[in-house]
Amino acid sequence: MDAIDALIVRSEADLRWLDLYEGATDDKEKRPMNPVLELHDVSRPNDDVSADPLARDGLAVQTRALGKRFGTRAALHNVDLDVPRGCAFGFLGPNGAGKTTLIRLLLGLAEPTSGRIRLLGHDLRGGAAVALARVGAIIEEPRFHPHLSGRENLLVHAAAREPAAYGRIDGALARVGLAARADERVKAYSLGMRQRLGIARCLLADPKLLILDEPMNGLDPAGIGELRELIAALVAEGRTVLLSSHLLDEVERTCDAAAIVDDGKVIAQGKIGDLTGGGPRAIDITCDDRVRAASLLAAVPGIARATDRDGDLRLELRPEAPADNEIVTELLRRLLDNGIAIERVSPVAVSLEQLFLTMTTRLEDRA
Amino acid sequence: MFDLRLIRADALKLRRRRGMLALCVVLTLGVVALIFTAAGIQHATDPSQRLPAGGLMAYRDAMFVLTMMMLVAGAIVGATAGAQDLESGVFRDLAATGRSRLALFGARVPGAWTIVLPIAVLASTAAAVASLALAAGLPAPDAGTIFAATAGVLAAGALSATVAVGLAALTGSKAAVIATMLAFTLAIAPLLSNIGFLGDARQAIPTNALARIGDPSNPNLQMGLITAIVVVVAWAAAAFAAGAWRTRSREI
Repeated sequence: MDAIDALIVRSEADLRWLDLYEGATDDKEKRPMNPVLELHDVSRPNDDVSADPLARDGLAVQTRALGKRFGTRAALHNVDLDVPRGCAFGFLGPNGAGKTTLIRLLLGLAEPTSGRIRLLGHDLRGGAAVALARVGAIIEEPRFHPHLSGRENLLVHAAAREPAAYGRIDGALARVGLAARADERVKAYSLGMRQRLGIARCLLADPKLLILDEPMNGLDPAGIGELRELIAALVAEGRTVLLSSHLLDEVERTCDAAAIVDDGKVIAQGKIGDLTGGGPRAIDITCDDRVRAASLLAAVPGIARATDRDGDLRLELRPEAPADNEIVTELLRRLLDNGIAIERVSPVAVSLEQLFLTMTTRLEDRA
Repeated sequence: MFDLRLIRADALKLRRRRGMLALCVVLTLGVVALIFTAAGIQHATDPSQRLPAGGLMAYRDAMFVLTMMMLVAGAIVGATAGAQDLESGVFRDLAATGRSRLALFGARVPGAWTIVLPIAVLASTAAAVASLALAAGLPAPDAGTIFAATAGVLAAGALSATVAVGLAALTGSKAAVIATMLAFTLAIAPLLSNIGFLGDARQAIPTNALARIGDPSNPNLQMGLITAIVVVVAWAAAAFAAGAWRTRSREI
């Protein structure tokens, strides 16, 4: 990349950061996040990784046309994933959707059948040592040698890292709150302690990217809260956290962006707000004559269905329906014109969980 | 392929297995102590019928048994070294560092040797000291004999550990490797050695090669020293290569 290219890329990134700041309403949104978080059409042509200027310094993870087959079964199919640097990125999918397979491919633990992977700007093919040098990972559950102490397990792991990793052991143990019990054998650790030791092991790499596969499994609410805070702190330091989890509300609370994978394909990815904003829309209305209101409003263009929901009238909107404020104006006008008293009108916020359930298929459905 | 930091890490993993270490010491040093103690008690209780516990013949017998025991101890340590990362699930995390899998595998063999070889030296030294101290007028082993026998015991430990590391990486199972190597050492190899029509092919049996290294004067072995060394190295290289290939190609 020459100097002018670098300047252009930097400027585009800065502009996008400004966009993010402008819409920020809380700390999580104010976090400077890198770009390419728009919901993208997953059917778009597969770009050549090396041709994308952001591949060089803008993305923590980038895959193109990534595929993995086990015999005749395609576990992953044409996966294009873009994980921006410096954010917490959720990776969601039902059991058997291909989440762990993708993580194994990202970490070089299995060979892709097709496609390319870049981690922190480095092509994994032929350069795994460089690409993974600044990547820490917990895959499924953290595993250790149970007969060794926590500190000895980190010593063993540090031997596989750069020599400087030895010097990070004490700091990593202190950071996850295990310094006092570091010399006890791991077989005496609780699951929560092992999860924390797993995070400490990740930190030995001084990671720019952490890949955490179901890190909240088995943690109690306090443990989940501590982990959430730790992830937020790591992201605040400029690290990227790729978090695979079944706990959708946790992903929604912890992550800036997410990808949803189903049946081996990434079916959506982008900022959490954009994802949920792109999901099914509805409006709840509380009024004095629900039956008459339903018959009146069902005919309004953009309304797909009117149903009763806990005493309210729920209007489900078609995808092509006008913006919420426009359609609410039209609904109010019709109700008032017909003498129906309105107590409350509220657009329904779609949670990540609702979106997830809408977009993904369950294994039994697939079968 | 052989990284000192990884070797130290593998040695640490093995050193902390107190039960395994204790078993290996009992199987080697303990057996040597038992042999000379039992012979010493027998000689003390019936000096006219029982020879002194030491001397050249007692030394050769003890070193033969010790060579067999080192094959067993080497199998236990090597299989543990080869399979412990896989069985504990840690290998996946080590491979995810981007470190060469061959380097991770390659460290296991010298890691196992750091446990096996000191035990072999200790037990061999104990046997030599006991046979000299308890000779009581019988011909004692000379330096050449002691050197050859010690080399045979060391070779047995090193070969057994290397083969076990390779097979454990190949199968991913410590127990299966130990069982197979015990069966081969204690039953299959002696059986094959006694099948006459196999002729010179029997020189490829590793226990015969080890016996040749440890006891050059054995009239039952017509094998040259170089041939014996080649046989030992070939078995070790084959197992090492198989383990390295599986470690590199394994999807985890």
